[in-house]
Amino acid sequence: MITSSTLSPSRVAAIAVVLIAFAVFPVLAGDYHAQLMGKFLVFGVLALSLDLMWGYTGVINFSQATFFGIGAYGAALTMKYLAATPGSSYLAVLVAIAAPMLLGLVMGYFLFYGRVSGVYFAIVTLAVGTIFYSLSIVLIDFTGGLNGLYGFPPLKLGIPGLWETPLNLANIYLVYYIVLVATVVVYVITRQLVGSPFGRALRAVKSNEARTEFTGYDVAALKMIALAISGGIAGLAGAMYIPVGVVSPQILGILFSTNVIVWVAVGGRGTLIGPLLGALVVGYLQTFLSETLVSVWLLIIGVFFVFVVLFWPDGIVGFVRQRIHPLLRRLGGAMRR
Amino acid sequence: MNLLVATLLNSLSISMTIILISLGLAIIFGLRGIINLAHTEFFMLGAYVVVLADQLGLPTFWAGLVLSPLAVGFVGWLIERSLIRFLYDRPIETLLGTWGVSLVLTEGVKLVLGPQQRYTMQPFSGSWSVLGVDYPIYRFFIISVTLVVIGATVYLFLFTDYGLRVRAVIANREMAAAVGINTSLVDQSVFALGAALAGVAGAVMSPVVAVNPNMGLEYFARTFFAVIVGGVNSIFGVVAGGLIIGSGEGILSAAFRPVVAQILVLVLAIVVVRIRPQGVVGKVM
Repeated sequence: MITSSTLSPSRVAAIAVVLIAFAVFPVLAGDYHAQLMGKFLVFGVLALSLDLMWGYTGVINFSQATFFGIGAYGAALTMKYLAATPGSSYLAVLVAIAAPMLLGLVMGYFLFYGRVSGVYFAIVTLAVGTIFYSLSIVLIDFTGGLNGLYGFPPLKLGIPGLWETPLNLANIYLVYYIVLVATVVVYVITRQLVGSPFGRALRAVKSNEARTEFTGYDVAALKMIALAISGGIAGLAGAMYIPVGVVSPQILGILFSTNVIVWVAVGGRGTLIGPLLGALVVGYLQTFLSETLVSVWLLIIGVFFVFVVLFWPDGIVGFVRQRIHPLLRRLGGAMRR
Repeated sequence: MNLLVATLLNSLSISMTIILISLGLAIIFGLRGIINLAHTEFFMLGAYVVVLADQLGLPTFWAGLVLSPLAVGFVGWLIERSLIRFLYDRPIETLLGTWGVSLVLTEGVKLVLGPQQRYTMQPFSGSWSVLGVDYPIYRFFIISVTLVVIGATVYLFLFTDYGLRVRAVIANREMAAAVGINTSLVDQSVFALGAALAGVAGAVMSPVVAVNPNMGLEYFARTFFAVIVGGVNSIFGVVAGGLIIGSGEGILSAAFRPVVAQILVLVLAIVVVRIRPQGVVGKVM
């Protein structure tokens, strides 16, 4: 487990190199890749939000994208109706975080206190995803139906009334850096959270729910709060998705939620950095391969996913820790001699 | 009056359809407590067997109806041997593994047979008049098939030696193995049987739906809710669950658009699961 307390000089150097690489990336790679990487970072934040539930609390949510979609729709609708109000962009982001948090609280209160857990909770989340997907299509006047929402004013950065600049594709570098900073901030905060007593209680819930209950924890409350936080992070990702993607029912649906599960599984659940990595790797592979292999891409993902579930439960991060780390250590030892 | 009769017939028809699709899922769930998320894709495969039988020039529907359970049961058995047996007693992993399988089956069919809609011929058309309401004969056929399948399943599990062995394994796996029951064979056969039942459902439904690789998704939520709303350890549970979901949808469809009715039914189902997590019907099987 990487914890924030073990910041050796070599690790600080590694982190600095990675951050600098991400910082100069758009300058070297250009607009198109800045948008792509920005989108994948947003997906990474979404994957990280699922990891908090799945990897740390042991609760699998098949409709994580619902939180994401509600965030995106919430922010977009705020801009559509309240764009003239000063500071509406900040309000939109607040809505994007608060609305899914509220849904998480309601779901958590209703289900976890009713002892709906494990596979039952998973099935209920599938239904929740289906419900919101259907709602986004049925409420056509409000949500734009299958076409989704477009043509609403862009989110803006700046001080209302003094100076503001729109966050859209024309301003893609700024969007990229905002997403990058937000990703780092979310990562650091979540890292602190899982290392805190609260995070340790969540891990206790994951390893043995009954025992955690007997030691005096309110397990339902822990899971409910975790679900709300997870929803809030996913909602923030939804707001950040607006400049780089399209707000349509697809981002609410079960199929998109499947992608999120795949990113987390491939990257390595219970690691936070793994899901981020998983979203970037799978996203980029998809972009490069899909031109030639568009028809078999989902098939490959499916086979790969089954493979990961069966043989590779810790994903990329687990692989690196088990195979690459010992190798590097041995290499380091040999060089010292 | 006509509206009432039509609503009742619709409710019955939808309920029976859901029960037919869910029954195999309930059997698999009942034995090992695992949820096979690829179940509605087995249903989809069943429908495609009829489409293929049609293209091969076999006596269309009836050949498909016979071949579907065999073919889909075999696919189910392969999946049990290659994947599921490594995941027993790990319900969450099973959920994920079978989720992957459902993706593979959907995309596999899309790749091999194409993403377009397929249609098959109804073996008989026309309608019967019930208290002044004309209702398609084929819908009555679906209802009767479901009743026969329920009867056969109950007979198999409650009144045969095979059923006794399966119930012994459910009651106490170690003890069953100790008295000489091949528990692995029971696992395999029940999984294959569950898949075969989904195959039957797909074949029977193929003439009244648009057959396409994603058709499983349409029945997905209702199928799984029928099982957990009814109670997972009983054949009668899934019948009760199917009736609740189906009648709910039938009745609500009379007042709302179908999509809205389905949304409301799902909300209703979540509430029922919350109030009675053990299901409406207790343990019977």
